[in-house]
Amino acid sequence: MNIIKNIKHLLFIALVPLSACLDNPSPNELKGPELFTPVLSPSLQQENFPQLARNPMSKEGVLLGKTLFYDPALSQNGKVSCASCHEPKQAFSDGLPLSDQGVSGKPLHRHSPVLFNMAWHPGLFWDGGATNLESMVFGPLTHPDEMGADLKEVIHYLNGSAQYPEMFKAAFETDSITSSLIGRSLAQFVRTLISQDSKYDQWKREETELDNVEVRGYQLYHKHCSTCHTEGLFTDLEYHNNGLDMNYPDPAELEGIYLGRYRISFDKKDKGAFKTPSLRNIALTAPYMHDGRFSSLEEVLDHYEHGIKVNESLAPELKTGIRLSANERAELLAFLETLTDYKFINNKAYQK
Amino acid sequence: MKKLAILILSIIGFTACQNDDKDQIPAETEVNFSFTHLFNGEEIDLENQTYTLPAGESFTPRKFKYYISNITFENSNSGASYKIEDGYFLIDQAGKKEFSVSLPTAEYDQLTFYVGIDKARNLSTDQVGDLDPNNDMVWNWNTGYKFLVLEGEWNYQGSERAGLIVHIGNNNPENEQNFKAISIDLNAKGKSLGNKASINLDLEAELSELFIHPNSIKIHELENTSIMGGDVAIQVANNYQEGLFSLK
Repeated sequence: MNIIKNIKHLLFIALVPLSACLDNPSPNELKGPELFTPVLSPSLQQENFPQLARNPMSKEGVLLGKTLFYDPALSQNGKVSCASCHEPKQAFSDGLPLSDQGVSGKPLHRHSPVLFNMAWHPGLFWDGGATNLESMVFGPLTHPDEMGADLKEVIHYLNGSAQYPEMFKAAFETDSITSSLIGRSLAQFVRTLISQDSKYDQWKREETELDNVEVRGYQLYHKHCSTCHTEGLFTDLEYHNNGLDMNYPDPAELEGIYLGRYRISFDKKDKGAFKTPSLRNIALTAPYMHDGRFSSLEEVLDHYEHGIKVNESLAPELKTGIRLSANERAELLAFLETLTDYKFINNKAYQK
Repeated sequence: MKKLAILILSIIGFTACQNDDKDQIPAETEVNFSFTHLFNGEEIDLENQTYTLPAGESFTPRKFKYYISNITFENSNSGASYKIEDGYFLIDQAGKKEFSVSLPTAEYDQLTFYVGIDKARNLSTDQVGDLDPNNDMVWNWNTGYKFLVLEGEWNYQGSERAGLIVHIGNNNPENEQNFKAISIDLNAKGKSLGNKASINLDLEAELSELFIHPNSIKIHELENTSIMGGDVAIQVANNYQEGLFSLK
């Protein structure tokens, strides 16, 4: 790190005399985008911060991505931005079971997913169909029931705006705004959304204490939930059938949307399997499941206790259900509350 | 020794002048591809013309486009081949229907190209040019490209008009993939490469073939007029592999 700083420093010194000869160059023209890597809390239990070699994160790229994220002008009717369905206060979800806030007003078939710690997700969307953030963003951006954008019109708008051409130049050192750079800058911004400062994280870092009820809840979580909601990210990033439905209708025009991961893998064990959502910020992100069918954590726990539908692809761990006494349930819920990250949802860096 | 060298050099120089221009083999060959799309032998007129599908249904096409990639020229005697690197071309009935590629001149009598995008290149869509997602050829629910798109108005024996939607494009898993090679015998049409600076390859696609061979596809017998994956998509892909394209 110090070496990099020294190099930057030397570069800066070397460039000063040069800049004297140029016509007021902006700092960016001298050093290009300023790359950075986020600092990670050990409580995430992640060794690396994954990003694509072709799209390293830079301050300018993230700022551009953030500006695009909050810009409703990208949408067909000028009213829907990414943030319409991914609000910071709700851990970048929207609180609706199935949103009808897109440009067509038609309800979607899946619940808006949260956006945090996405850098570690090898699959995006509830079934992992998208395999990198750079490509994923074209889905919601162009889907007729979401933002409904025509990418050619978006490029036209960006080229004609007062601020964007310069921002693209600062981020990617080019005068040519393309769809691919829209995808890349949005991906950079989304990768910066890291939730790692809940009470749980502070406890893990020995900065605070959990009370007895919360600790017992933590033990219950370990016993009953941690197989899929792996500690650290609180998801195994895998896909499981958690017993919501017996059968899965498959109308052709919906392209297998009810089949879950099966529509991607064509593997029988993936019928009705959806990505394990993180338990982080779970108290903020009702309703629950891929279709938002449960409006409270109580309902979710009811499902795991006596609502499991047993079919061929059911996750074997769930066959017998998860039974908790009233006391245990309260303890588990108390622990889940410790996963709420107020610093994350109030972080100005992520907001408009 | 010096004298000998001068002699040899002058012979070389002299023979160089003997070469007649018409025997000059160009270093590069430019191959100009063009595509014409037909329905029952007549050129497609999007939106304006209604055609009869092989199973007797009416169809008014609105969109027809596909990717051509992985173009390889081959010499069937020597086995030598040349693949066009980074060659991904969108052919669109409503847009561009031709492209050109260049290769070092050599004798080739066979052509292979693929409809679609190979697995390695299909892993992301933040790409440019013909692969720019603004061409409306990327899936919105998974990462990758549609290889072939046919859309239009469909009806059968006075039924309700419905949208026929054919979106084919998958590399993964292996048993579900529909990335298909098309083989063309250049020699059979007198279009072998070897000594010309440029050659035109005019290909025709007869769309009714998508529904005939080897798989007979009767839309009115399907549960739905959308074909976007699964077995029927694979059948359509097998159909465009055999008999959709021919060299004029």
